Parts: sequence; C-alpha cells; structure tokens
Amino acid sequence: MENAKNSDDMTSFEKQFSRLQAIVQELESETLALEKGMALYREGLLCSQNCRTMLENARHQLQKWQDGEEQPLNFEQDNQAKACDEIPF
Amino acid sequence: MQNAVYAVSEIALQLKQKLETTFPLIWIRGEVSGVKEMNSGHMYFTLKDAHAQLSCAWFAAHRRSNYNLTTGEVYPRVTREIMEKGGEFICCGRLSFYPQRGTCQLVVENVVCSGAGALAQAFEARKQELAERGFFDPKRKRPIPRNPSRIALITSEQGAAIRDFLKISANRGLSSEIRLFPTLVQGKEAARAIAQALQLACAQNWAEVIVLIRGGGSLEDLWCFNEQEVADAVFQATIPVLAGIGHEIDFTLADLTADLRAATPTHAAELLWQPRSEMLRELAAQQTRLLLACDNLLATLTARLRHEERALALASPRHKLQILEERLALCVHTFQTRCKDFLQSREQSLLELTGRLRRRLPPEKIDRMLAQVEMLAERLPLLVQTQLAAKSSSIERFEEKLLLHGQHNLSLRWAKLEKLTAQLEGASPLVLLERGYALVESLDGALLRSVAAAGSGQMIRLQLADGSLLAEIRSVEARKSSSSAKEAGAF
Repeated sequence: MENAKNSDDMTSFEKQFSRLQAIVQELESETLALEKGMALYREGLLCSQNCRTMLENARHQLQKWQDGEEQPLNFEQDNQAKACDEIPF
Repeated sequence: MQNAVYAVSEIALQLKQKLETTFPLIWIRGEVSGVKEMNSGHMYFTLKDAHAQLSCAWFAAHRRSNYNLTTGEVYPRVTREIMEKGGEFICCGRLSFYPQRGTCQLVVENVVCSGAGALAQAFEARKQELAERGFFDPKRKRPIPRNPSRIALITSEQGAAIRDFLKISANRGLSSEIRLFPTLVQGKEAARAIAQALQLACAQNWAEVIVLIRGGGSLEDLWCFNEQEVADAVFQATIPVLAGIGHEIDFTLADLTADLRAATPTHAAELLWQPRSEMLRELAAQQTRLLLACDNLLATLTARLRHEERALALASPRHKLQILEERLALCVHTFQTRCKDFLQSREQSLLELTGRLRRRLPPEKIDRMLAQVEMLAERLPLLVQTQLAAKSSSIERFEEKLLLHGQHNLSLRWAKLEKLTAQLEGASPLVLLERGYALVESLDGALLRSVAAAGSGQMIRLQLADGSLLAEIRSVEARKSSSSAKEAGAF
C-alpha cells in the first residue's frame, strides 16, 4: 500500500521530461503543420515548466523508524547539538 | 690480517657467508609495505617497524608452500591482496647479503599474518565461501533506481556517514522521503542489528532502495559488515541494496554482496541522485531547443507562405492585365514611332519629289499643259457626237440590206417546200389504201408482215382508206412457196 505513495512526482517528472524530449525531437525533425507545431510547443512549454517547478520545490524529508513507528527527525538540529561530539564514524 | 686491504667482492663474500651462517632461519615481525609482485611470481616488499626496515624477497617457489618449515604447521595462504592491506606480519626466512647490489635482504620462505592479519585471513576465507555460494554473482545484481523517491537508510544516527550522505543529497534529485533505520555499526551486537534493520526494511516493502552506509574505520571497526549474518541479510534483501562502507580502499562482504557498491557514503548519495543543477541544465537545454525548433518552424512556414503569395501574385489576373497593358503600351509606342517615321520619310520624299518635279516641270509648263488639257476636253464631246452619228447611219443601212436579203431567201424556200409536199403526197401509202389495199397490224400497232407473227384467235386491226376494222384470226395457213401473200384467212 505504502509503495504507491509519493512515486507520482518522480514518474510524472520522468514522464514529462521524456515527453518534452520527444516533442523537441519531433519539432526538430520535420516541418509540421502550424496548428500541430504550436500545440506541441505549448505542450512542451507546459512540460518544461512542470519539470522546473518540481525541481525547484524538490526537498528530501527525513524520518526515523523506531519502536515500530515513524518518528520525525530534525537532523539539522541534532547535527548541530552533537557537532562537538567526536564521532569516529 | 688485521691491516689487510680487502677487495669489495672479497668482503662482500665474507659478509654473505657470515650472515647466512649466523642467521640460518629466523622469524622477523614487522609491518609490510611496498609490495611488488612480478609476473614470474616473485614478490618483493619491505618489512619495517618504527626505527628500521629490511628488504624482503619471497620467491615463487617458496610462496607455493604454506606450512612452517620447522614445525610443519599449515597456515592460511597469504596473498598479495592481504599484504597490500598492510598490518603486521611474521616472516620466516634466511638473511643474506646480495653482493651485486651491496644490500642485505631477507629471503622469505613463509609469511604468517599477525594480529589484524588474522582477520584478513578470515575475511578471505569467508569471501571465498560466499563467492562459491554465488553471493557476488553479477547476474543477481539488480539495477539501483535513479532519483528514487523512497529510501530506506540503514546506518548510525550519530555518525559522519549520515551527515555526509544528507549533505550531498540536499542538492540532488527530486523530492524524496528518507526513512532512517538507526542501527549500531560497530561492535559485537552490530551485525545482528544491521541484519534486523535490513529485514525490517524489506518486510515493510515501502522503499525503492535500501542504502547501507558507514564511515571509515579500521578493519576491526568495519568487521561487522563482514559477518555472515549481514552478508546473508543483504543477499536475501527483496529490495535493491546500495552499500557504501568505509573509504575507497575498504571492501566488506556486505559491499561485495550488495547490488551496487559505493566507495563512500558520499558516493552512495551521488550514485542515487543526479545534481539538481545538472537536471536544471538539461531542462534548460531542452527548453532552448524547443524555442529554437518552434522559431525554425515559424520561419519555415512564413517563408513558404511568402513564396506562395508571390506565386499567387504572379498568377493573378491583375498581374496578367498589367503585363498586357505594358505590352500594349509598347505596341502603341512602336506603332506611333513607326508611323511618325513613315510619315516623316514620306514627307521627306514628297518634298524631294516636289523639288525634283519643280525642277523638271516648272509651273508655267504645267499651266500650259493644263490649258491644253482643257482645250482637248472641250473638243472631246463634239468629236464623240460626230463619230456617233456616222456609226448610226451606217447601222441603218445595214439593217435595210438585211431585210431585203431575208425576204428573197424566204420566198425561195416556200416554193421548194410546196414542190416537195406534192412529191410526198404522191408517195403516201394512203393512196394505196384508196385503191383497196389494207394494212394489218396487231393491237399494239405493230405491222404484221408474215403469218409467222400471227396466231389463231389473236385480235388484229385492219387499216382501210376510210377507217379501221377489228378482227379475230381463225386459222393461220402459210403459203408453200416463198412468194409473197402474207396471210390467207376466211374473211
């Protein structure tokens, strides 16, 4: 069940990026009718904007699995609190 | 002898003999470095401690045996790889002097690991075993998903490894969830903890990839990753495993069993995610190509449209009209020019001719000729009338003569006609009929001249002088003699 979660972003990025590449290739390879060319261009632009938004908003979320449940983990704070500790590994 | 002078080779030879007899077979402990293995199988290295070092030569013939020459005890075989890892070794051999180079070296007959070396041997032995069981088989390695969005991270919560990993991942990939499974990564309990974390991550079946990392350390520190339990858990993992344990030079059995080995935790993050800057660059490149391709398409279509417009303008009636108008204007112009030229040339020649005429026929001569013409014109009607009158009288005379000749001729012809008429009447058959003869003819008017032409019962007509008779033939009798008499009948 959990496996389906959150994979949409990536697949949609991959899908949109692949679609963008396909559109660029089609536009470059032949002289299309104006309407089709413009439609492809608009679609490509949309794909590109979506991809950019996804990249710009990309963040990794860190959580900890302990005692049989997911717990929040603010690593930056942890990190700073223990920065002075001498951890050999 | 005390003050004797030795040649170098003499003293070298004595030194060699002294060394070999004084130290027939000795054991030396030290750290190994500068290991070189030749194609022949000979190995050269240096044995050293904090204050001194000794060159060692381990020849191929000696390397083949791995038992103690004095005790007969069998040791695990020490390979070049084990020696390259460093650490302490005990070498058994004979000290010798090498005169050609003037150096002292230990001709090694056997090498035994000391301390850490024993772990390395255990590692080698287990590695061999796992390799035979197919743990490292490239065919079972699964691809690690690129830019994954769900990652199970197995490492210590407090350590350099997780810090390095998260630091590198901050600017890479798309949004993802990292679920940390905190675990010990050192010590006796570590192997079990790591194996359990791996099993838990697989049981959840949430992650796309499992990342197993740990920072650098000694062979002992990293030892838990060489334990059978960990290797088994990695081998049995249902989710692809990426392992990055220790530094570049460290190879643990967990590394070798994993689907992909990263040299370090940092490297693991690099293998998982592409830098966002790179992705943005690729995106920007695609966007530029998109714009360019669109511009090109528009330019091509515009050019095509202009071409068609030009073609249309050329084919339009207006253009044709224009061409015809131009042609007409040219024709008119040519015509006008030619006419003008023609008129001019004619005028010129007229002037010339007039001039010539004037020169040849002066006006007074013309006047004279005109007067002559007028005079002749006046005389012409009179002359014509006289001529007409003469011709008319001549015609009348001929008419009279013609009439006279005609009348004379007519009377002559009449007299001749009367004479001929009288002659004709005398020769007419009608005269014969009046004398009693008859003409016999068939009903169609043909004269019957022979009895052969008549048949019994035929109707015939008899022409007499004063009329005709219709009769029927009763019989036909031909005359025997050939003399005349046409027919005989009973009538």
